[in-house]
Amino acid sequence: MLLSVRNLQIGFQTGKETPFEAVRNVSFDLPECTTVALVGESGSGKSVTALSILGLLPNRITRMGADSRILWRGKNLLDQGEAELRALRGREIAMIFQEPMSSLNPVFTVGEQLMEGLRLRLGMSRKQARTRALELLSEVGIPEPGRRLDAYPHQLSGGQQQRVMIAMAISCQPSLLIADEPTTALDVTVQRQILELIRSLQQRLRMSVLFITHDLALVNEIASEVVVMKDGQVREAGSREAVFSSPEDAYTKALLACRPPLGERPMRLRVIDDFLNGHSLQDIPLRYRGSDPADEIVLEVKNLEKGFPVREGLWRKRLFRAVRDVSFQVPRGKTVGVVGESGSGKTTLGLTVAGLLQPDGGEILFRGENLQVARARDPVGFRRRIQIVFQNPYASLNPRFTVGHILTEPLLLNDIGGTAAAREKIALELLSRVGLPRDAFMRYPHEFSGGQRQRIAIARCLSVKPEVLICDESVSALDVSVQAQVLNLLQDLQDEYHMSYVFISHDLSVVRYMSDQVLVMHDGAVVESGDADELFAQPRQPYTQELLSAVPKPWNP
Amino acid sequence: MPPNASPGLWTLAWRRLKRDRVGMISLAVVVAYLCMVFLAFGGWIAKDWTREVGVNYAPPVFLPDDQDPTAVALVKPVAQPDQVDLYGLQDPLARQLAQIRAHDPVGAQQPIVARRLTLPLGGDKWGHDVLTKVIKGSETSILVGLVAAILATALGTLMGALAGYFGRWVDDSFNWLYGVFTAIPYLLLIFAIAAVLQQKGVSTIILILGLTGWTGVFRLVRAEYLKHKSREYVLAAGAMGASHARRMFIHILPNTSHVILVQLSQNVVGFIKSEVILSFLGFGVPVDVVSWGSMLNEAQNELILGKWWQLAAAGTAMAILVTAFSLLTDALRDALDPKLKY
Repeated sequence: MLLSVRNLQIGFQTGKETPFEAVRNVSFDLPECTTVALVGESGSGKSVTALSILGLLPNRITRMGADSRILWRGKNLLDQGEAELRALRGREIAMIFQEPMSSLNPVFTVGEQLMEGLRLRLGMSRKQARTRALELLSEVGIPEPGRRLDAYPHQLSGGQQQRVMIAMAISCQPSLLIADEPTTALDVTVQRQILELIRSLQQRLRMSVLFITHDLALVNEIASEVVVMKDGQVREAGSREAVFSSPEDAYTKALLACRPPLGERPMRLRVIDDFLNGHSLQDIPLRYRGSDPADEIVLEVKNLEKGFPVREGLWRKRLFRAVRDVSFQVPRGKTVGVVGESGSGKTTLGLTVAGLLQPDGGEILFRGENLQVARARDPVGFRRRIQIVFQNPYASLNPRFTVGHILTEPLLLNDIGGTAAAREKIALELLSRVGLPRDAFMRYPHEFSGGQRQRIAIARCLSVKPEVLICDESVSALDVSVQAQVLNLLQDLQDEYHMSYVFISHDLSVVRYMSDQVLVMHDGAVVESGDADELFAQPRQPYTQELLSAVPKPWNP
Repeated sequence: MPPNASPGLWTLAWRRLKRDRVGMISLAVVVAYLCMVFLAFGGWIAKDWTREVGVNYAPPVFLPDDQDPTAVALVKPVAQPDQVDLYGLQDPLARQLAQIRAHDPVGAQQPIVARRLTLPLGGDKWGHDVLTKVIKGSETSILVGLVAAILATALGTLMGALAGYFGRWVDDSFNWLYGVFTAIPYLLLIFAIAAVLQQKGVSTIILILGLTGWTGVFRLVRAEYLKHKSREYVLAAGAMGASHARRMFIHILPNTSHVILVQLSQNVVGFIKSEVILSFLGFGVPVDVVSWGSMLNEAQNELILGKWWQLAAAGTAMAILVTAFSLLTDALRDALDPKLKY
């Protein structure tokens, strides 16, 4: 056995209170030449467990349990001194992190950073290290490794940066590679390439991989053993087949069920509570989505253009066309999904339609009337018709305002409600509508979790009764179980108020689940569009096909 | 009514501040100073600091001395010139002076005044009580420091907000102004403004410091606004129909308050020191006004004679306030941060 973790107990002591128990009684084994996945949502203790293996937790506040043991080839790592651990780090156990950009030092070239480790740990000469670095870069599949060796990190794309991180990690041919969410920050097509790379390296170098992720679908692609964690405890552990085909634990079942399925579209997604409370789990009726020629068109975008000036050289400016000639129609009560990778212009499109950016060309028609003209004529009346829910629920609420203030401000600005007491009443109704307690009214955003904040953001938009709601990656930052709850809420609200949604996301299964029609964007232009089911079943354009094939496959026995 | 209405921002901040012992002690010190300034300003205390109550350079009472602390010396206010040996020369003005003295009954008949040999914190060259002098000096210095710092911070915040929020040509023009102000050496700039104002007085110093001190605040506030204006909560406010002014001052400003508060406190401290420099250069307070600066200025000459008490009194008063003020702003910054719980 390469690594066995036994009764791992980790608490963090801050101040005088009792320590916060981050990891409780965790045990698992990691055999040689296998990939074990540690799966869990935020706060499950998966990263803390990984860091404790390398002895990277802050000594001052970390309290290890008395009978906790981390056995590396039979030797307890928790008893080792800093010098022994340092000899182990990098040489025997290597680690890669989620954000490649912040893991690389921006002022050194890729080559220098690669060579530093080789020269320090393996005692190579400069020349030897350079040759080895070149080999490593070509091994991790970086094109033109000779040129990339002298490039700075910012000159590489996110995927290439992660490849460089992997090259560094395998430079001393470690026996164990710990990968902490290595693909979370990457686009789906790049994610696929990095997964392939890790898998092939694992087999070629005969090393073990501890793969930490929140995404069960990824686990299915890469791991042979799975450990599911929640709130610092192991909920379920076993082989991939066992965990996916016959999950024992209610939480694992819930995790498997709450991702929107690619094949069908239930009326609502199952959420964790359904499983934990043992609610009736009989089949949920399916929902039909698709466009209908008889639909009433609320919003029409015609040949929209939006660019940003980019400085080139000293004087010249070039227009970077973020959105090129985009046209689509949004029917009442329906959802138009927009998918694309980062840099495809989907967020710019959302901000322009919401009126937060001025279009450079083309028209946005709201019920047949040019929105720019209409806004100039009646700014109050028209602005509120189209609202937007942003991606990051931590940034979209003013941290200095109470939730009550956040919800009543749009009412005040748009002259709804009349008196302060009436506005407060509306705000309280909105809170209960999005499933938050009444006492949330006087609290501050930081007191809420990500999912709750996103509910507050949705309530804020609802307060002005919009006809079109733009959801810009609104569920991307949330844990899968919370994501399902927010998606259910959005569905319910659409059924109730017949709002139209423009649903922007990089997550294809979420977009397919929510949308009647889908636009696929690439480099600012619409590559393909059509009814959601049709487009996902039979993509015509090569780019769409590539995107779809990159989506991690769910378990299929 | 919302159920169990929970406290607002300031109540919460006050609650957090109360938990901070250092912060509360600093607050007490600052409040005590402000009370003193208020009382001195109203003329209830230290009104007669110009009265010469002690002998020249009267030492402080606590100095080890065999004299009785209540001992007094009898001094004639306008001393008759003693007999001077003129080395056989005739005083050319002797006749005129004798005539003047004959017609001036006051000078001759002025009563002999009792002057104390020691004073609570000592006395200065003319026998002024250093304690009352320090109180009166605090009034001037704190007023100058506070008012000038508030003026400079307000100017810097306003310009920084406009420049950072609107960007483009607005930002360019404010940056040019900033460039001009920072390119001129500080003292030269102060001379220039002093020369234009052509007046000596407390309000002049406030204007000088306020008009030159905004640059640091401007730079930081502008950067904060650049950062915040594209944050999603500001975009969301825009989508809701909030005006530019509302977004700038109701949404963004509270989120930059920690920067502004820290700058304000640094400015207060810096301006108290600047007032000293100005007084030294002759652009400071007029002769009939006392400030910590003018006291320290006098202390230069006294120190050579070994009379250290005026320096100690002014220096200690200043050090205590400056330290308390800095600690208080630090505590305030922490207390106003909504991300910290309780």
